[in-house]
Amino acid sequence: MLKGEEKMVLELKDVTKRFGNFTAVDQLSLSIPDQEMFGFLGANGAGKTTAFRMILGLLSPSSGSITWNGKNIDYSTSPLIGYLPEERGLYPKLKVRDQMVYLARLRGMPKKETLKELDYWLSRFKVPEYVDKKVEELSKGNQQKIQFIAAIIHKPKLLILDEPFSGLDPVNVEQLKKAVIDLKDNGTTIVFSSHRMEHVEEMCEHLCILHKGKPIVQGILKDIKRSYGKKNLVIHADFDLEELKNFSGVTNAKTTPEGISLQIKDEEVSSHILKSIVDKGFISKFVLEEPSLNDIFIEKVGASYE
Amino acid sequence: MSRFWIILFHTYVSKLKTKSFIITTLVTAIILIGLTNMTNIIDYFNKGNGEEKVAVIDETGELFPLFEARLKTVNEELVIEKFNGSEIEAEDQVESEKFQGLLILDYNESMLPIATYKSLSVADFAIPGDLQATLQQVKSQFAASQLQLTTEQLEKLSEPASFERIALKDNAKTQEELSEARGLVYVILFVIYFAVIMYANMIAMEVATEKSSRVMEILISSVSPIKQMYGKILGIGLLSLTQMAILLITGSFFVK
Repeated sequence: MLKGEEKMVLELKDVTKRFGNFTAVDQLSLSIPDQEMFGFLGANGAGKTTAFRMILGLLSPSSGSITWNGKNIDYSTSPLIGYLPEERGLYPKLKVRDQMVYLARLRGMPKKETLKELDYWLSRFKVPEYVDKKVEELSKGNQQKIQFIAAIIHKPKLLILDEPFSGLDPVNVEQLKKAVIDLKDNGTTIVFSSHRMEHVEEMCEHLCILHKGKPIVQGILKDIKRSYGKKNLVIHADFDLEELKNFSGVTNAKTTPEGISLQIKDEEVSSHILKSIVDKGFISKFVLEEPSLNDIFIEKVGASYE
Repeated sequence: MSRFWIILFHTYVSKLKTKSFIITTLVTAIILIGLTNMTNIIDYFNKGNGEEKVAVIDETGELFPLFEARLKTVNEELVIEKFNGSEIEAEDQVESEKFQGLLILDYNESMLPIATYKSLSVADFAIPGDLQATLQQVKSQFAASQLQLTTEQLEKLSEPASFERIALKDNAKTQEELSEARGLVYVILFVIYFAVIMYANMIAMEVATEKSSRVMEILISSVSPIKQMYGKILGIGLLSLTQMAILLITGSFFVK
């Protein structure tokens, strides 16, 4: 494996995929650095899964190139790649153990090691008793855990997770998130897609928002937020705040049960607002917040719906 | 180990362990054992039936000994018993299943033997068939003596013409060999027919499960479809060889 200055970078250059007249992915260029977590965001049908399939080599791009560490991805690299497909699926009639051993061996992991890893992961997810159960006997959420283990059991260098947290309860989401972060800390490059903004916000440094196949926002999370400029101002007070909706510099406003939530052009506006209300009465909360990814996403993607 | 072999053995071993495979193999083996031991089984069940008895009312008073002697040459196991009571009494006995049937022997106008057979149903063909054949012989004998033919003349008349087929080619098969070969062809034809349907179906089912359970997406990202296909086909092929071997071994063991 290459180490040091030559980092393993997953690079997509002007990747386009067309299905007939329909362009699923349009001129997508990305560079995903080694040992990073990269988030793919996008509305339903934005082209996330298609992009993943191209990265895996299941689909070939209509134009453009995808390289990992300067090489094409094909079946010779598959032991280094883990994939959690969006359409979950395992052999329904096969016991978890046999299933794992088979799938891991196909990715080049010997049986003994697989069993050791399987023990570790099953006890980590607090389901060690499932090892002898058939997959069809498990609940959907538990099947998903097994599926996740199947994607990571061979210790991949590049892990592709398509909607890893959909259909899980909050406790399991936390468990899975922790597992993903641990994998990242152990040196796995992780690419994952979600339509849950908070997951991406929490976990990814790099992200890309796809809309109708085109990347509309892309880069490091902090930069994206900073360049977005707008901030959220949350005010809770005892008196009426409705008039603030017409304050200059306020772009959007929402009344909440305890007060008001304003979207403002920049930080300066907040000080003007504070000055104007400070004498009016008791203010229990006055917070200037970074915009959430949710706001950015809705503005960027939602705008083109209108 | 290459991924091809992993797929091959996975297909082989997982199919080998399925209930359906074990059950079909067992059932077929049992049927095979049954077929090879068919004669023993039939004998076993025939023993329990006891002997079949037919009551005979001889209206002529002289046909019975002759008929009984002739019957011995047709069917040794069939027993006839002279019944001395009336016809109605005899019918009652048949109805209470003490006798299989009732045969009434008589002469017709030209003094040739005729017979009436009464039984619970006319569906039984074996006993009346034997009785009819016997009566035919007795009748021929009577007719011959009426025509004043000697036994020799009678034999000459009833003797079937000899007809034999001989193949001139040196390596030509004899009649017996031919029918053996014909039987074998039928057996092999059936075996091939079932094998093609069963094993091809197994492969198709395997692919269908992978498709419908969507394991395919994981598989296809780690192994090329061509390798998967051949791994499956040959894995099932190996399975079929195993099944055939089991059946052949049981078959040959019991034939001995």
